[in-house]
Amino acid sequence: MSAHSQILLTSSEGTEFLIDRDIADKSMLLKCMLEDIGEIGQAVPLPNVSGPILTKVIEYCTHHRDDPNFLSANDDVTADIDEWDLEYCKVDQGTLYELILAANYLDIKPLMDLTCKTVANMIKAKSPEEIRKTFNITNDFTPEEEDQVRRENGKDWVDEH
Amino acid sequence: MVNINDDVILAVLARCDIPTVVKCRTVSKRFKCIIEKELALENADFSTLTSRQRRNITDSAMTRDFAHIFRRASNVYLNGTGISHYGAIRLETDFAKELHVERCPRVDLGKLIQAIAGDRWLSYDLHPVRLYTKRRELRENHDYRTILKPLYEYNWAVIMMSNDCRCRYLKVEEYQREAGIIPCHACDKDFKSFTTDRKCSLCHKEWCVWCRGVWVFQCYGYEANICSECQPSNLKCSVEEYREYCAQCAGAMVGKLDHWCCDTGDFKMEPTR
Repeated sequence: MSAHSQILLTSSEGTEFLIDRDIADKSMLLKCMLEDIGEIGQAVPLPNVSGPILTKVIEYCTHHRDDPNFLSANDDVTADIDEWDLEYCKVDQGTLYELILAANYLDIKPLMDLTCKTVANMIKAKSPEEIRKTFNITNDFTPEEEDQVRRENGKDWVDEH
Repeated sequence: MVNINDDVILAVLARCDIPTVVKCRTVSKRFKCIIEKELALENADFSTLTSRQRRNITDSAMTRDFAHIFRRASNVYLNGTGISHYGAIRLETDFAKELHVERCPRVDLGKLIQAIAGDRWLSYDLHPVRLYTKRRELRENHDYRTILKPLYEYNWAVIMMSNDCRCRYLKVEEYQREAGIIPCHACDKDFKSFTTDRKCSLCHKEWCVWCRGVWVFQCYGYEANICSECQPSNLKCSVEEYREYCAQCAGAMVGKLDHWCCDTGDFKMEPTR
């Protein structure tokens, strides 16, 4: 197989993306599939990924194309995020969540780690109420239930954070 | 405003530190449910920890490690646990990878690992991609010391994992008490014995595996383990040296050694130590 072979991907709305095989190989889903069934000469449908999100995913994989540590990325929550990746994640929340889902579906662990860490950092310093606002979540606890959960958590966890 | 779905919540929480995860239990019932079920934090009793312990956890890398444990817990499957005489724990995964964990000075790693792993299996009713991911993670997560390190280095708490994939926290002392582990009689280390064959047959004190070689020997006469305190005069047969006797046996052997020792007729008893 040529190192410069190309793969055609189709997003959920039918947009086609022609990418190099080594870029596609950043996705374990695509890599395993292509290894298992070979290059079939047809577009690979990705019904769970929209065109704009697939564009972002390809942008990420292309940037990290020659990154030797791409697959050895760890999920150390305290590890620094590099500058390019930080800029990459400066998108609206909806896009960020869709990127997480796409990374999960395509099995691109470094992208999954990056996007999830970004969201994790967003909620780290927030109070539960602020987290609800951020994620558009309704508090469905009764006051008694919420009080009970707080007691279960213990005072210090809540006070300190 | 975008609604966040459960997969995203789970993926994000799995990468949060423990205080954030705990805090998120109060966000909504859905968050609480995800944290308890998916991250296997059900029955975690955070309220019993002291303030100092909490601060220590928060301040240290342990937070990260525990997050690691929670995330990995539902993926871990260990096929059998073996404990060598040297205290190394051998773990086998279903991917035939053998792992070695250094012996733990504080807790009984054998029981600990058994408690964590139990008889749990990977769930195979998952989406193939996700199952593959779990397998891949398991393969990559080859160094179980990463998982176990905080459990014994910080002497803080132990996760007990039952077959229904739920876990809870116990202080080490509580864990030891529940596991029926009795402190070693001889050494001053915080290390516990875990089998009854290290119990002295005469005084019934228990000895850890590390002390056993020094303090306990097997009396050939009584066919039992006798501790050094019950063995004031160590005796053995000069012909069959492995036949050692405790003081009680030595007394009983006077006049009828052929019943107790070699049947060659050529024997005598002499001190061993």
